Amino acid sequence: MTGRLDLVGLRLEAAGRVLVDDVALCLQPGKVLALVGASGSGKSLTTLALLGLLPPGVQRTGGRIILDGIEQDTAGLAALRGRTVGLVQQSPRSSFNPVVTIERHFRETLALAGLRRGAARTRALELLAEVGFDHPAEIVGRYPFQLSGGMLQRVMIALALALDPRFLLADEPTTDLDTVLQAQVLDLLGRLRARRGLGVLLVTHDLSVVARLADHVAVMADGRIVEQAAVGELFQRPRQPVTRALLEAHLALCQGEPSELAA
Amino acid sequence: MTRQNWMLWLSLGLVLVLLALAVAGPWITPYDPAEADLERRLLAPSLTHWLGTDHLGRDLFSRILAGTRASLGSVALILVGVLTVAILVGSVAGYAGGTVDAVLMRVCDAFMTVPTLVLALFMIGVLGTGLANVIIAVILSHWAWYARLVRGLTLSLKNRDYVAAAVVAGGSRFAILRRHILPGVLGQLAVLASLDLGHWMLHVSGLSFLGLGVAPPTPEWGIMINDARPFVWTSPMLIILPGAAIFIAVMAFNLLGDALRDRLDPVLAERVH
Amino acid sequence: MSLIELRQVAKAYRGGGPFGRSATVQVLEGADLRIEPDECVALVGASGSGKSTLGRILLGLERPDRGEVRFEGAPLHDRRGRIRPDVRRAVQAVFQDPFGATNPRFSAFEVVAEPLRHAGQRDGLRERVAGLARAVGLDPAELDRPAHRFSGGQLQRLCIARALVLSPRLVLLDEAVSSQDLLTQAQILRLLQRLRSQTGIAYLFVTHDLRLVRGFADRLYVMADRRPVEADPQAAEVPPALARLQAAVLPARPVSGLSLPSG
Repeated sequence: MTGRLDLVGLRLEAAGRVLVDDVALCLQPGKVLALVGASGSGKSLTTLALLGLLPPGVQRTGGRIILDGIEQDTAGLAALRGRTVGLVQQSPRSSFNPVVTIERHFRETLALAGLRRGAARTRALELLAEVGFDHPAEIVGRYPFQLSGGMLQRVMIALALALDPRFLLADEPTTDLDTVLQAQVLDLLGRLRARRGLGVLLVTHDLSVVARLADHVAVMADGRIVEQAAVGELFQRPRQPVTRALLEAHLALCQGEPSELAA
Repeated sequence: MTRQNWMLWLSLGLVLVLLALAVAGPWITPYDPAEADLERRLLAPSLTHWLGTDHLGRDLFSRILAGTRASLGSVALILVGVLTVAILVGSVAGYAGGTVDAVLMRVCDAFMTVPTLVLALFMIGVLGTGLANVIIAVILSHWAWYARLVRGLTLSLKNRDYVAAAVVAGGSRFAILRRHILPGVLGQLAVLASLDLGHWMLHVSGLSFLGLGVAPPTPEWGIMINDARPFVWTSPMLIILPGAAIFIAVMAFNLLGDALRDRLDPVLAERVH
Repeated sequence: MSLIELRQVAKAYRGGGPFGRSATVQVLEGADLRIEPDECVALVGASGSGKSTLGRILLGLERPDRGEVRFEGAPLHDRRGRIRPDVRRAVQAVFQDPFGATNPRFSAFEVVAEPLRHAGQRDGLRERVAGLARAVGLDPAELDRPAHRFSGGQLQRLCIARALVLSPRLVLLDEAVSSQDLLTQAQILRLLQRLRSQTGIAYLFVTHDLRLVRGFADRLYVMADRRPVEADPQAAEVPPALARLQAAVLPARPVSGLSLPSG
């Protein structure tokens, strides 16, 4: 049991166009792999492909998904969802059913683990406490519209963890949040990595998020992975032009002078 | 061709043919639709009279062709009437908000609570019979529902950032309504109204059938059915043919409405957001 | 005399959901803010701190409950609640989401030309718009394409062109780069700086991201207790609200040696 989730040779096509080609990623327990790139580079599609949740029109024409050394077929992928791999997405509000309470959301997910009513509620309260709510009992009874964006994002993380997955895919989880909330959510992800030994795939375009949380980084451009390295290595010795460009823009932003590159 | 396109072109074609007949009707009929000839009553279809004659010897084919004008013409007028009133009331209510909105919506509620037939009979009781009054009655009984729809759409569009941007750019309320809100509203209205056209035609025909609409000898499909009632067993074609005409027209409008809705769906779906 | 000034502005909303809670939420209280001609002022704060409301009041989109807004010494709204056309032209805005801020039915040309049309100008639109398109780095030949076919970054440039077409004195940048990815953010900020040096426009840059402010803004306000407080981020002592934001800023580079226990 290698404990790893590997993606090998992923190829995605839509209407004859190749969107993603020859992408290979490896998620290890307790490590955060950041997937960075400009908009349209294929990061989100890669994430969805890992769960078999591709949008209509996009097909996987190549690639294998290997869990613990065993290749997964379509049925295996479906079983992965939620149980082995959790998903947290960018816009929490659209992931919730507006007419149903938070508790109901948990119940639906926990029912898959065979937990009902009382046991489910207890588990839900535990999960909400784990993601940092001081009064989880107040939260479960509320409807999504009564919670702020930051709170919803934390609830979404709690839901993603409901079935005790070993891996977590987070697609731009903090992009819509302000600085303070962003720091809180990233701290939370860091704690979860430590406490649960979660293997995290963190998709982002913000290199500060990478600097804060990642152990390894994969850089995507035009549907391919152009560079992969440990995070320290990437920041100190970026090899590809794409990586260098991203790094320059990022450092310029952090140091306060919009760079010459960006004109 | 995909199913969507096929249906759109077929229904559009049918509707255009019907419109052409409505416009050209009285001029292209082989016989004068009002010309009675009691010598030639209730004739079967032949080469001289393609669909036969009715109980007064009038050529059925000509009457049905000419009837297109009354039936379709009235529907067109109802469409214009309903949409105009609905857009005026709904967009003002939605954009202005506050008291204006509240008052206008109560007026809508009042009109919506009265069933069409009751309102029509009331209007005809007040104004008298005749096609014009039937048209007014149908307009009055249907505008309120559309006004509510327009108001709802206006409300949802009013809060978009591009409306705020237009206000900042110096747009007057009228200009914003015209350039940003109404185009968004008209799309949905067109689809829903086209689904209702058949329904309105049945109202007009129904009221004419009851003797409240056109006066004889003006040909109109509903009244033709009414006139032919005594002959239902002996000459059923007198009822079947105008009935078929109504059926074809209503079908054409419904198909057009469906096809428009399918066609415009991606745009509508985007706006739902 | 300041270009624009807010004096003791207060604004409240009636909050609560549809279940009867109608508590009033005081969003702004005693808010003072001033912007001098040709100045770039930043307004930072967490989400929900009232900065967007303040921006809308500045734009004249909303009226304060108490207090006043003065443009070049005169009240923004006249007694009938209208804004004089020349004042209206002088204060413009770029919003956060370029797709939401543009009519999906418009072409790029129509988006930029709209303010000119509202101002009653009919002649020479094409040349004016083409000139501005070039100034923001877009090809005038593309202007007849539907606006929403452009990428997010390009569309935001069009929105900037639209904001500038009436030669305003002040432009509100309401989280104007927050929806874009890193490279695009840097490019757009660079563009905005260049335009300001060419035209002498003042900016109010509303954002939650402190990193963007350095090197871009001359002065900084931070939202604290429902009012903007002027602050100097370089000073030894900063208001607690600013300190919180500064603490939440993510690092530019990975912090090695400081590790959370990971698997």
